[in-house]
Amino acid sequence: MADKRKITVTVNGERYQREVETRMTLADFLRHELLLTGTHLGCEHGVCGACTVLLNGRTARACLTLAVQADGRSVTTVEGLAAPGGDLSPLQQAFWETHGLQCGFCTPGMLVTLTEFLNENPAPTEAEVREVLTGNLCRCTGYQSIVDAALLAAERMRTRA
Amino acid sequence: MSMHIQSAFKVNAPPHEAWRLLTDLARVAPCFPGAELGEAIGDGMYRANFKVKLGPISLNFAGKVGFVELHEDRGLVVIKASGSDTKGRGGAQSTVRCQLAADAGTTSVALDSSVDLSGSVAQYGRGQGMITDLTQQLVTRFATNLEGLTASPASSGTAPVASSSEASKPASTPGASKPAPAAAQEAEVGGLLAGTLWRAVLRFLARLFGRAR
Amino acid sequence: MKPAPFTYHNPKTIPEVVALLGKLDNAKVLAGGQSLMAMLNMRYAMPDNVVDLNDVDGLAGIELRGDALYIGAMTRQRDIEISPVVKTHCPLLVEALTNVGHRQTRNRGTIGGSLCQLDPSAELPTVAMAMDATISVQGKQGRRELAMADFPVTFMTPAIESDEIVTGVLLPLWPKGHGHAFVEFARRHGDFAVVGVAALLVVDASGRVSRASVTLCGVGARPIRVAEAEKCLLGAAAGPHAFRAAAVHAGAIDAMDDVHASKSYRQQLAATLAERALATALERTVPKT
Repeated sequence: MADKRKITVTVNGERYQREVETRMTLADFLRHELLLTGTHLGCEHGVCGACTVLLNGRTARACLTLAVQADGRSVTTVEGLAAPGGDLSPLQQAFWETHGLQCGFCTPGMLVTLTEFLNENPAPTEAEVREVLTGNLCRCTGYQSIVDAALLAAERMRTRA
Repeated sequence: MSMHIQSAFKVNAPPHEAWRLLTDLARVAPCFPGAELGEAIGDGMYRANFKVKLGPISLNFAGKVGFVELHEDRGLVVIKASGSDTKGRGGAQSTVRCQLAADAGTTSVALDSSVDLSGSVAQYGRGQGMITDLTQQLVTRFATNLEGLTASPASSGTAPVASSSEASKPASTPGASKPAPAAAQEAEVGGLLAGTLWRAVLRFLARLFGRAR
Repeated sequence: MKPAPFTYHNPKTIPEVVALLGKLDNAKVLAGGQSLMAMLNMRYAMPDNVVDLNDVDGLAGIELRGDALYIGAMTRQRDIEISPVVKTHCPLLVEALTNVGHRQTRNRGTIGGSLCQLDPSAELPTVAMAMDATISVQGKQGRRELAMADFPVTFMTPAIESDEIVTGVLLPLWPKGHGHAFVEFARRHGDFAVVGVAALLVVDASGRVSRASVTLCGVGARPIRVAEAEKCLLGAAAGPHAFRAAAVHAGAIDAMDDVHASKSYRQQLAATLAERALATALERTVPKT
C-alpha cells in the first residue's frame, strides 16, 4: 500500500488540494497533478536548475523537494511570472529581446532564479548575475544572452521605479 | 571498481593447527565484519549475507561464500565470496588468498584480497575514497578478528567485534593529527553496536563458545 | 529517477523525532534535502522511512551566546550567509558559504544537514573544525555535546546513533580584528571542492602571529587541522616567509587519490591554497594594539 497524504498547495496564487504519494517530488506534482509543465526536469538530482521554482518566495529545486513538503505553502512557477492579463514581466520581455533562449529548456529555471535575484539586487554587476546563474545550466546560449537579458531587465526595472 | 589489499596476522599455533582453524568456514566467515553465514549449497559453497553501512546508505549483499582452493601441503587457502545488493544497487566479488607460513612454532598468515564492485554502488563519484577506505578497514578488521579467533577462543577479551558492519574509527586516518586511543576506539564501536548488529554479535559469540566445547 | 516507496513522517517536536527514530527501522532523516533527495531520486538510498525535520519547532536560529555563536541545525545556509550577526562575528562562515553549492541549494540546505552528511569536501564541517566547534546532539539517551574533532568517525559517518539528531552547533568566536579566509579550488564555482582551506589568524601589535588555525577539506575522510602549520606560525612574523613554511606543512598532509584528483595534485593544491588563504587572512587582520 502506497503511503499517501492529502495536501493543500497554493500555486501561482491558486489553491489546489490533492492526495499524493509521499514520495512524489514537487516537480512531478506540478507537472503531473497540476499539469503545469513549465517546470522542467533536466537531471532530477539537483544540479541543472531546470526545475527551479519559488517556494514561499525563495528559489528551490523542485526535484529535491517532496510535494508533501509544500503542504500549506505557496509555490510560484514560470507560469506565474507574467501579469494576470498576460503581459510578460520585464525579465521575460528582456529574454525575448536579447534572445536569451534557444531551445527554451533551461529558460523557466533561469527566469525564476533571476526573478528572485533581481527583486533583491536592482543594480547587479555582470559578475553578480553570472554568480547567481551557476545553479542553472544552459547548453544552447553560452549564457551571454541570458546575462544580457538580466542586465537589461534590471536597468528597465530601475528606470520604471 | 577494483581494489587490492594486503594484510597479515599471526596464529599462536603451528601450521597444521592453524590450517584446521582457518578452514572452518563457520568460524572464519563471521570474522568478516557484517557477514552472516547461511546454509550449504553444495560444492563447498554456502549462502551468505553481508551488511555494511557506506556513509549515508546501508547495503545488504546476499550471495555465497566458500573455499575454492585448499592446498594443505602449500599452506594456501583461497576464499571466494560474491553477492549482489538486495535492492539492486550493485554487486561485490572478493577473492582472498591466505598464505600460511611456519614461524618458529607459530604461523604467520598473509592475506591477499582482491575486491571488485559493480553497479551504482561503485559508480557513486563522491564515494570512491570512502569505498577504498571502508574496504581497507573491513579487510584489516577481518585479519584482526581471525587473529583473535585463533589466539584464545575462551577469552572474551579477544572476542572480535565481528558484526560491526559500520566503517568505525579507522586505526589510522590520512593526516590525522591525533590518533584515537584504543580504549576510546572500542567504546565508540560499542556505541554503534545497536539493535540488529548486537544480536548478530551475540550469535557469533554463541557459535564461538559452542565450538570450543 | 523517482524515489522508491517509503513511509513519510513529519513530527512537530524534537521528542517526537527521537521517539520515531528510536522505533523505526531503516529510517533516514530529511533536513534540507539537497543531498538526501538526490540519493532518493537515484535510488542510491532506499530507506523504509523518511523522518522530515522541516516542521519541527526549535531547531533553527542564530544567536550570540557570550563569546560564541550558536546556530540551530535546521537553520538554512542562506540565512546564515546573509545574517548581520554572522557577518560581524564570524566572517569565515560567510565566505565559506559563498562556496557552498548554489543559491537554490543554500535556500533549502541546512547547517545540520551538511554537518551530518560530512562530505569530504564540505565547507561547513571544515569551518566547524577550524573553530573547534561543539556539536549538540539529542537522542533516546538525552542530550549530549561532542567536540567537532570527535564528530567524524570516518567518511560521511558522524558519531551519532540511529536514534539521535544534531540539534545545533556552537562556534567559539575569534577575537575582534582576527583575519579569516576560505579558499577552495573546484572545477566550476559551486562544484564540490577538490581541496579547500579555512584560515584564521590573530596578529599582535608587533606583527607576530599570536593565534592560527589552518584547516583542509577534500583531502580525506574528514577536515584536517594542520597542526604543524599552526605550530610553525605561532610567534612568527606574519608574512610570506612564515606562510610559505606553513604551506609546506599543509602540502605534506596525506591526501586521497580518486577519480577527481591524484594524491600529489591534492597536496599541491593544499600548499598553494594554504599560502593564499593565509595571505588573505593577514590582509583582513586588524592587529591588536
